[in-house]
Amino acid sequence: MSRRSTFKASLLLAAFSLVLAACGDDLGDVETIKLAVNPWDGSAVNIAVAAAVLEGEGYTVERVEIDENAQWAAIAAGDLHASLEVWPSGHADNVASYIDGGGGVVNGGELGAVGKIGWWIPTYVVDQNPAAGTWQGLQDPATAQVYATAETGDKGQFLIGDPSWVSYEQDIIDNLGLHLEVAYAGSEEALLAAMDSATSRGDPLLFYWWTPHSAFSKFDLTAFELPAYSDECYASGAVDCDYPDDVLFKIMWDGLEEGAPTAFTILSNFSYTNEDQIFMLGKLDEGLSVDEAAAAWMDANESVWQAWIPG
Amino acid sequence: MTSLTVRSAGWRRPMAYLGGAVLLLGGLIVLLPEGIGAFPPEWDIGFGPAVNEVQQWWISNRRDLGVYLFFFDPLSDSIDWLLRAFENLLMAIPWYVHVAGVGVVFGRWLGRAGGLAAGAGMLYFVALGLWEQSVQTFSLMTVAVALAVAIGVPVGILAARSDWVFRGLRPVLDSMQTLPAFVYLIPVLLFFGVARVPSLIATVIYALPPVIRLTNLGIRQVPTESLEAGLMFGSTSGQLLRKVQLPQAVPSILAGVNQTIMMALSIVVIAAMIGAGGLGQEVLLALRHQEVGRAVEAGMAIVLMAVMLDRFSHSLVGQGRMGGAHHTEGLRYRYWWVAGGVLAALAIAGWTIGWTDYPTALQFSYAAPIDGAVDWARDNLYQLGNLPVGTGPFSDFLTTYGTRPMRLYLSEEAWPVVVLFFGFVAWWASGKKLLLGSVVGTVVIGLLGMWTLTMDTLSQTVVAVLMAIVIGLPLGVAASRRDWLERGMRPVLDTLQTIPSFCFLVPVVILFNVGRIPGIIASVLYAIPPVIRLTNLGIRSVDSEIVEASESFGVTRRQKLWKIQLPLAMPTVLAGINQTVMLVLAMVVIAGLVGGAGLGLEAVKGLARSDTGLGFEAGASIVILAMILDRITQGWAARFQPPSSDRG
Repeated sequence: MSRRSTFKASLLLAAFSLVLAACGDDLGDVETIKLAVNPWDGSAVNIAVAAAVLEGEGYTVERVEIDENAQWAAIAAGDLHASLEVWPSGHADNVASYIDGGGGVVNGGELGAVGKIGWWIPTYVVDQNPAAGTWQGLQDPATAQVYATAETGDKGQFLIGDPSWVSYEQDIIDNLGLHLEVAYAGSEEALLAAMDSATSRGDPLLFYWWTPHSAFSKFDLTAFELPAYSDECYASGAVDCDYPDDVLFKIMWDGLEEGAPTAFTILSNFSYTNEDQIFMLGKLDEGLSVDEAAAAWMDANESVWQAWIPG
Repeated sequence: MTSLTVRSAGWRRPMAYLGGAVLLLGGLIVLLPEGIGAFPPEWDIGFGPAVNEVQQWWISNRRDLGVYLFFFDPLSDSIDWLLRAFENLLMAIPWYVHVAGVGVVFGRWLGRAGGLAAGAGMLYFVALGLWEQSVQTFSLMTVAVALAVAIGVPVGILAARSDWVFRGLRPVLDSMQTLPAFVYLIPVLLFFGVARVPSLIATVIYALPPVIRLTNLGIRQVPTESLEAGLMFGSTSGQLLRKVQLPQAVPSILAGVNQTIMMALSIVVIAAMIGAGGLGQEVLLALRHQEVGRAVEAGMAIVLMAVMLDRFSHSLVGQGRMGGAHHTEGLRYRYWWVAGGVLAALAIAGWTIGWTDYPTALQFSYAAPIDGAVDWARDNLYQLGNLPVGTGPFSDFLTTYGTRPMRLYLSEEAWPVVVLFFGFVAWWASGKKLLLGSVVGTVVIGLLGMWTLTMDTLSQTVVAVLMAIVIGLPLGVAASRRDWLERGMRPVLDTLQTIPSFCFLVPVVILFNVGRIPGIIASVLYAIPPVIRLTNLGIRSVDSEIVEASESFGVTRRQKLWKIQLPLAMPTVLAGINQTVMLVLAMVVIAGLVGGAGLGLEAVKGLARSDTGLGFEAGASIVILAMILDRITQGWAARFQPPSSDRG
């Protein structure tokens, strides 16, 4: 353990000596587990469940809202201890420097849920004009024009949200010869607002999105047809196919196993399916808070999370 | 009448310059060989990669660095401890004690109505279920402002005592105020860990300049007679500072603190992006679910906090001036003792019967009508039937005939033309020195590899400023003629300037499509108050004798406005436009978040991809652009300022 974390641990020891005296389990030196909450709901419900389980075992949990890229440096330094939903397609560089390069972060195993990034359109677009829902169709400038806006002129507009989302839009467009221009909405919020505005009038809109996401309960969306994903297509360097499935995984501070062995085991075992996450996202839409949604899931699935706790 | 002839000459001269500029531009375009387009990308000497290398090195080594172990880490831990302690203390006191306490303090200083209003304001935080968030934001603000004062006052004193320090400091302060906080969020995170502390540091960096500026100003303005008197009595320079200069500079320093508080509150939401929590987090959470109403509720809580702190610090300024001379000592203290006693009794009573939470049954929300209004606007304002009327067609029109052609022209036209044009405008506004500065500045932007993006941002800035002037100037003139309008506008303008722009993010996209226009609309909303305020002020402060004299000559209302009031108010109006330009540039990043592209999106990318180098390159370009535009508009304002000899 580095001197820095020893210093922190001793501070924490002093601060939580009362708690220690009270339980005296093998929780380890690190009594407060700091979890990263990334700016999307899936991440928030994961952390709510993890927090409830960890608190049940006697830990204090602190949740820190932080950007998914900014979190890597913080976890490497031990300022944060874990993040539970990393999308591999967007973090190849971070994995290389922080995990493979021995940068202070360890791979905490799969989350269990599988994500999928893709191109999406409101369903009414394909109903009116099936060609506008396939890549072959958009090779025709006239068809691509249905997505044109004042900003993109003759070409169709392809909307991306947050610039931190790593994407191959430009490659796909160039390599398939689509008459599209990439525009950044700048943020997830702006992209959602654009969907809201366009669907209220039945306007066409083509955009980058992913599942699982609560937007699917609000808007009727259809996947745009791209050539199917293949390993060769990604290996070739000239991407011209759909995105692969994203097997979501967890990352942890490399000092956590020593500092808080029980927490480390719980977080390593933490795993559930897309359906579990979607159940909680649905609860959020019903107006429940993140913690209430997590509690509702935990009531219904006690055997699942009990199995994460070391015996 | 002499001053009137000076004015009309002052009107004609800019026209001649403008004609000259157009001729010059035309000539250059004809003369320059074909094929010179945007700034050559291969000349990019960008320092981005170097910055990233330093960052990478820091990340991999910081756990073993002495400076981290013995400086940043303990510093960060102690600030964190202080913040938490303060937060816990505030949370421990029952809410109604806070409400009553704030009411009592304001009541003493601003009268009964002021006290009641302040109490009602405090009730807002509780009744909307935003108490914990408000306490969090408030304690972060308080500690940030305290730190800013602790750093700012000594630095300001230093600057006042040495011209050399002052000159060196000016560009640093300018940069601190114009560099988007997005750019330094990641580095701050690396030095100070996560959550509260880095947010606090980012807030201090942004909000520090006014304290330094106004401390410096306050000390420099101490009359030399006072200093000479002090010297005559044999004061040392330290005594002079403590006994003469500082006491006299107090009002100015307090004015600086007031500005610092306002600036700190204006980045509450941005600070929440790196874990500040509080009201900013509430705004972000609401936005994530497209709940505009909830975002506005939290946004208005920030506005209320700003207004209350503003009144509070203003009355501090008043108290500083009066030195409490109005009250006899005994009476002053008795009020506070009694009030303090009652409050303490209330708190103890609350703790003993265990009634400290606000009853949920009395909670209140106005989010639903706001959400309804947004939906209504989406369904009714976007487009009227098939007519080309509505926000949607307006946005398309402005894109097709405004931002798009201007952007394409500026970024594809030969870059030396743009550089020279900038230089010419700078020379016209203020002279040779600024000409040199702006030429060097624009070339540096090119060398940073930010040419095209900067031209994109510049074209949006121009459109936004023009819109603010076209809307703001008539409103200011109207307000100067009707007292009720001026009074009615004031709270609206205050709100526009303090409500976090993030609250507008969703509605502007819904109404104006993703792209450059929603960002421009949000910028105009944020940046229009100074034009309105200063046009109103300028016209109202035109010498009434001149106006009356003109009336005796029988001029019409319109002539009075165009020939006398507006020309004489011009320096003030231009000062307002100068502020508006700066505020529009402060919104560049927000524009990036709604599809504005340009430098704003680049700064967002810098944060989102931890690409600090890219962020700094974009940030440096924004700072350079802001400084050039600032000096140009200031130059114009100075040009219209009548020479002081004319006045007599």
